[in-house]
Amino acid sequence: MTQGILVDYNYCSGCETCVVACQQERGFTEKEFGVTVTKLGPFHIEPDKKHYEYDFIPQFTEWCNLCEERTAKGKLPSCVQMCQAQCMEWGEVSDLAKKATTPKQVIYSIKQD
Amino acid sequence: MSEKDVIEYHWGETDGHKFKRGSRHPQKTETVPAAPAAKTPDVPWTWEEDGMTVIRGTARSAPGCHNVCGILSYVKDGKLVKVEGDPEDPYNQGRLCSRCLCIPDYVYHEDRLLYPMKRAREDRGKDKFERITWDEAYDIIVENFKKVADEYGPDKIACCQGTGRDIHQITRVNACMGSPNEGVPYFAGNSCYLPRIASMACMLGDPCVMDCSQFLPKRYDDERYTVPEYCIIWGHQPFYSNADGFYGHWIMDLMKRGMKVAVVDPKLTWIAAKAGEDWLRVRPGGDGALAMAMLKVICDEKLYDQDFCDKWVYGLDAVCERVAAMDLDELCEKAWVDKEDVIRVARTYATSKPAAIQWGVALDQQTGGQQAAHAVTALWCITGNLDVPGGNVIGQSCWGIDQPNWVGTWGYDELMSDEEAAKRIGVERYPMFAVGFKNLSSNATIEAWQRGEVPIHAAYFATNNFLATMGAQAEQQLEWYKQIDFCVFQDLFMTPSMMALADVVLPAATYEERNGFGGLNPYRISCINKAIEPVGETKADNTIFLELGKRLTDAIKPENNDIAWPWDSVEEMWDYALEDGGFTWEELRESTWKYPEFEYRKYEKGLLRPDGQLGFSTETGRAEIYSMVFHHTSWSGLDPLPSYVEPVESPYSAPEAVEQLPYIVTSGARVPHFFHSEQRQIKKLRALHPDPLCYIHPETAAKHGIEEGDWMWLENQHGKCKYKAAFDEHYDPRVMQCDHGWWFPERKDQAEENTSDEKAGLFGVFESQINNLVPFEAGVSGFGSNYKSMMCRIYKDGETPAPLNIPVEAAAADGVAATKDRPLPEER
Repeated sequence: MTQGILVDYNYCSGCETCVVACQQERGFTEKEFGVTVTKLGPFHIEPDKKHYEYDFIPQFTEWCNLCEERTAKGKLPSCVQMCQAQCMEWGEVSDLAKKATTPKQVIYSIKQD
Repeated sequence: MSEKDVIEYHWGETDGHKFKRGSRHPQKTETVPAAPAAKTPDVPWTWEEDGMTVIRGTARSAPGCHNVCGILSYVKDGKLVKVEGDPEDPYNQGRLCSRCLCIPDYVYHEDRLLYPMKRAREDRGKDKFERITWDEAYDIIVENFKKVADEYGPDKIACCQGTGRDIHQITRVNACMGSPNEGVPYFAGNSCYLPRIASMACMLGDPCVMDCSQFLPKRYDDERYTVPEYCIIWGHQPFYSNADGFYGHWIMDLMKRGMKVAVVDPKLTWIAAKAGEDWLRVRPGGDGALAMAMLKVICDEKLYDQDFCDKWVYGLDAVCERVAAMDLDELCEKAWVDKEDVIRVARTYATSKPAAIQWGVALDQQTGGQQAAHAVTALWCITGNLDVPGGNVIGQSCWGIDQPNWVGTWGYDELMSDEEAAKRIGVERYPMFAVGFKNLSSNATIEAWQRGEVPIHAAYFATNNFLATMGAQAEQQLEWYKQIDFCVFQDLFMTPSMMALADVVLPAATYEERNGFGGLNPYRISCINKAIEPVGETKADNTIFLELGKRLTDAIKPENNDIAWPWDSVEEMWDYALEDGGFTWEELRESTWKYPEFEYRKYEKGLLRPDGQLGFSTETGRAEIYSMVFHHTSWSGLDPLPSYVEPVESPYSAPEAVEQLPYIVTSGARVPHFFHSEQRQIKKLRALHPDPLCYIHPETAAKHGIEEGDWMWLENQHGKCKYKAAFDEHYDPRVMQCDHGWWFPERKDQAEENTSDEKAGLFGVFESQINNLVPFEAGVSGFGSNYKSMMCRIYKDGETPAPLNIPVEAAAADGVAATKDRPLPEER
């Protein structure tokens, strides 16, 4: 069984709440983070139109343990709960895969039981 | 009724209840039973979890914010461990931004001010503060304020504030002394929300906000709610700014539910990219032209809601006539937007039902901000999107609980005589300040300084760092403020403004260390619930006002002793304030939040006018897109109809300057990690945005030999500033954008070592300071100044360009002349 996080990056606004939520939950300094946010674009996809690709994508690091203490108590991982865009979901990777049927979904496989 | 009439009657009003001034402690004997609160989840406010105590509450403030998000504070052995978003709270639904998440880092920061301090006036600017007790601090303040009141009059004492902190009771502090002067005197044009609020108040009697179901505790599941089909996001980055009691990610919630967006913004923001063809890359300062263009399309093509206008709107024909005479090509050309795009967005907005407009501070921060707000408000009035589900709805204070906490000017009516109130700075010069708003006019204050007068002799700055944030040409303003005899500062950290000017420092507490209620929104009343004891000797802003207010009243205006501050504790003061809701502060804490039952289409139900009649609280009873208030005050230059006013310094109003100042720099866009000038010392947040940035088109930068990451200067006739270049090819090459609010708390060693130079220890506040380029002039209303569209030139750090040859003195002289020649109002 593999646990992970599904990000619907159609909706990530780049607010970096996840970065800080993780740091506070885990007692990290500003130099440690279980998740970091990467900017994709903005790219001008069709030059004669106002068609841009401009996304933010959270990426998970080896510091991430999927908030095992929280999830053991039935809570959501800190980043998932605090995410202002509510664009993250936590669960079994195989379950998450069934939900990733539309464009701009990414699943991070993070932890094997 | 004019303000003068109200004062002559000598009746005051608190929370909708009239009482005779000075006759008694303002007990609310005329209260009717309060309408019950809407049902919300029944949840406890405290419990134990894993050896920690959890306290449910809401967050505001300090630090500053315009929201009142639900939070859970985790406390162990009296120490705050962490804060989480409250999943049960209908407002933010478990979410929380990085600034609140960092609150433990803020509360326990090594640089927090922990004790009151004093400093000799001759040592201003130098780190020569001395620790004192609260009693001594209060004594010094009372002695000095009384001296000013005796020597110059109480109106020469000004209470000055910033934004975002729950300190509105400060209006009672100046009123109890008999001073009508409270506000943001350094903030040219009172340019934050007030231009929009004042415009809406004049046109509709009440302000509006986009409806994201935030009035309804069941939110998107409430069957009364309708998701807007279309929303124009205007001069606003909702996700990062969370401005004016509007939780930005509500927009995201609606996008997930199918709402399409148009975005008016010079920057390709994330949401602008989602708008696709409906991103209108407006020229900074050109919003008014764009608003008039959209109004023209809707009027010319008769896309307005005729039935709604016939019943509820006043002035449609006059507006149609006004815009018919305007040239659409010219408006679009001046707004720097494509005409076809404007026509499409206007048509889509007018034909989508419902449709909403969510706007930002960009509209306020231009010379014609008030006029642009008038035009935008007219858009939602004539399309029938006014006070309907999913449109722009009228928000009123919950149960009338506003005076101590929201838009009210608490104490103004009952604690001052008519002679005292008449000494409010600018009330004659700018008549919009007489209509509802009881702040001093910033521009009338600035004009007084410019004339060589000293309009303020004692100042109480609570939660304001104006040299870093609001102050246009702050270095010039510092020279003026140094003339003030006595300055008190109340804040959490040593700020540049405090270092420059404070004679007494009062250390304030955060929301984790105090009880209170929020605040700044018309949706609900929510509890600010103390989780820990205040760190050091800090005190809540509200406690300071209560304690100091009593002493000031007794010393300066003892006839107010019986009614000014008749409460023994802050909780007692809150009980008085909350009485109109039919609950006490303890009862509020039990439920954490209370929502009044919200009604749409209040104009159809007689819920807006004091006389209970149908319609709006205006002279005609209709939504006045032809404003009768502006009609009656048109002697001052106000226009009863929506109009377009070019910024005071722009390529169109000052074409002769374009050769030397070819670019337009805008500012004030938020980043998620900072609230204006706050949080620069919080390491986790600073790491996410370490430097003051100027976003610039790479081609423009290349012309000046500037590479990404280089330090560069921006300059005009008013001043210059230094920023780090960040490339963004999606700006118009003539436009760039600079961060605002920057200072460098890490330069505290410099401040501590500085015992001689009065500016060297100001944490570099004038260095990356875009406000150095901002002119003082506001629009004819006294509202709206040019913080968003400064003409400038640029050069790479290290280069020395030829001096500018643009007369700045002439403009100032004109300003003075205009002040003197301006016609005074006729007898009202």
